[in-house]
Amino acid sequence: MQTIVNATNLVKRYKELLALDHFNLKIEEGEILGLLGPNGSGKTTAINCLLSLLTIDKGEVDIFGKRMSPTSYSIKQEIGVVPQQVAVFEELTTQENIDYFCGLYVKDKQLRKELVDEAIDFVELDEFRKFHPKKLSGGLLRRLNIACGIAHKPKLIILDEPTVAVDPQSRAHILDGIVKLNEQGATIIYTSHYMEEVEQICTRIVIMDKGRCLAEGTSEELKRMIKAGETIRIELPAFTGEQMEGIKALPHVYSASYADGLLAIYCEKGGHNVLHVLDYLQKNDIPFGTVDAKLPTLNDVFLEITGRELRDGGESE
Amino acid sequence: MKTLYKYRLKCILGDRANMFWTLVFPILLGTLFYVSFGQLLTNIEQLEPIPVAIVEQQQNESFSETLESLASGEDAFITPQHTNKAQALSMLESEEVDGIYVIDESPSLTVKTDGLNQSMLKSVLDSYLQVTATVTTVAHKDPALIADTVRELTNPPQAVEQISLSSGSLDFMRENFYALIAMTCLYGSFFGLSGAVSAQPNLSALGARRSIAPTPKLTGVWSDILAAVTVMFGIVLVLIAYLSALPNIDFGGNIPAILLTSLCGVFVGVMLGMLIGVAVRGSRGTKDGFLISISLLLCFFSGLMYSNMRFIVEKNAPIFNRINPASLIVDSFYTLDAYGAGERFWTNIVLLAAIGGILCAASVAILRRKQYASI
Repeated sequence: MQTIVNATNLVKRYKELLALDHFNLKIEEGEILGLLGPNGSGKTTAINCLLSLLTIDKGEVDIFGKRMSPTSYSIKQEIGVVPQQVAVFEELTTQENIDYFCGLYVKDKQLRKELVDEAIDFVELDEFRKFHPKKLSGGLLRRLNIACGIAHKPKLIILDEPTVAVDPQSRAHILDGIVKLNEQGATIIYTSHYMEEVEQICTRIVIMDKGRCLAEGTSEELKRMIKAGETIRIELPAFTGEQMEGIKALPHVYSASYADGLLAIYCEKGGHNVLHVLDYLQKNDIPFGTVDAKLPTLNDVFLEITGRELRDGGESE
Repeated sequence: MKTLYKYRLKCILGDRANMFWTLVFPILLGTLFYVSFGQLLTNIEQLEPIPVAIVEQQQNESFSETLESLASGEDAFITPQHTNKAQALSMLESEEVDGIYVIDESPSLTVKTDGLNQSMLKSVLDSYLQVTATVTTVAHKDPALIADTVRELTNPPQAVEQISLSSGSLDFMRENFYALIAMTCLYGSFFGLSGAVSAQPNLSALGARRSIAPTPKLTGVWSDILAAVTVMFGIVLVLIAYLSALPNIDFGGNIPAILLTSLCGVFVGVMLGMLIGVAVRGSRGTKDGFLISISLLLCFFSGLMYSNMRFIVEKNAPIFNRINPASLIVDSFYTLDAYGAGERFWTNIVLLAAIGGILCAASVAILRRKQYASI
């Protein structure tokens, strides 16, 4: 299997801010790699450095086994990028926009026509061919943005938060499309701060924060890395300190908190955690409402590593 | 490149805001100029004889004859009404006449208000008094010279001979129209700036998208420049055609020279925008502000807002007129109209082409070397 991207020790500074701190990334052919991190964690900066859009202070980037630079046109020929911000010409129609960007990669007019038609079919914009971007909804606009990035059938596709501000239907459509592209042979880098999306489509996940790679592996591997096995939340109208001590003494419970009528219990891996808790509440005659038990998510992974929620942070990178 | 050029053309033509400022606005401004100046010319050309009352209190043959000559013929200057003083004052009060000439040993003029007609009546009287005073003085000192003096006063020698070197004629109104065309050429800088912005990843998402494509940056930039020059050249030709269609406006018959001037002007305009787009640091707004300031300043010194400005600059800092593209464009049209496509015209064209070339080379050099520390 070919290594598609190999970035080593990338350092990128914006004056005092260290945006990438010895960041490493290796992507094998056929992977869908999820780059997961909160806003401002350095995902977009990492992508821009990989693409040589930004100068790097230190480190090296190899793509398809060749050193990447701003003039590595043979490498760029095989890369498709869907930027975070919709980047299309307002004055051109859907079809013209795709044709323009495909034209930056494919000179043959006949071939390009076929590719444009395929891209339009792929993102299901056929009935919007003659529409100008301002006539398209947010979801359709995102699909156009994707079509412009993938029409030339690249081997490596980089999608930078392609589902931001997209309705659930379009989001599902976009995610299905990404999986389909991967099945057709493309290697994908997918950045997002939506852990559900990353969990859903990515074969491997890199969690990053403050420009550093914190952890990497499959979703299951990442979850196995952390202490949390199950989180139980119970609505309680009243709860005493003595009762809290009782809860904490239950098997597998390593932490608990009570606030605003909600008790959160964090359990290590192990069976029957909910049963133990309910048994304790019943025996102590403690009235309770809704009970909710969840297996660990990537957010829990991030929380345990950084002490912060995945969705904390600034609005943009 | 053909595809990029084609779509860039579509983008420029679809950019309504820029199309307004580059096409519609100059036509509106030209129409406004024409309406303002055209009215003035019409007033001058269609000068009506000035109604004037004449009161003869004492015989003065020479002044009476002067007034008679001014009242005779098809292009009579005054419409005299001989009357008495009381009646004349009444006519002046009721504005039936613009002035009263009193024929006396020492003729006088009475007017009620200030105005063009009143000034012209006063000018006639002043000239008469000046001539009679001169003749009287000569008669006292050397009566033998009277005949020569009268001949020279009535047929003054010409220190400057007026000759026409081309079929065209020139007036101050055309200067403003030339400056308007120069402004339009420089407005091509909007499209140049727009091209520069869409080529740079730190300024636009489109720039980022284009920068990660395998097409060399300059290929995209050249197609942008070519498309911008094409559209602006068309716009300037439309403007010239529109202005030429107006009565009394004529750009002369040298069409190839007019096209060449327009093309050079547009090229300089587009490249000015491109250079500002790549060289000036800051956001798009900063670059826009800088560009508008520079364009208006260059147009101001070429005489767009004050038609004598170009001559003031020529007198005090002639080098600035040689490097100000707007002045060079105005002077090229001026020269074509007044003298034809001679040495001065070709000098202007060479200077314009050189300025365009320098701006282009600088833009390309900066753009090629540019690396982005942040986007």
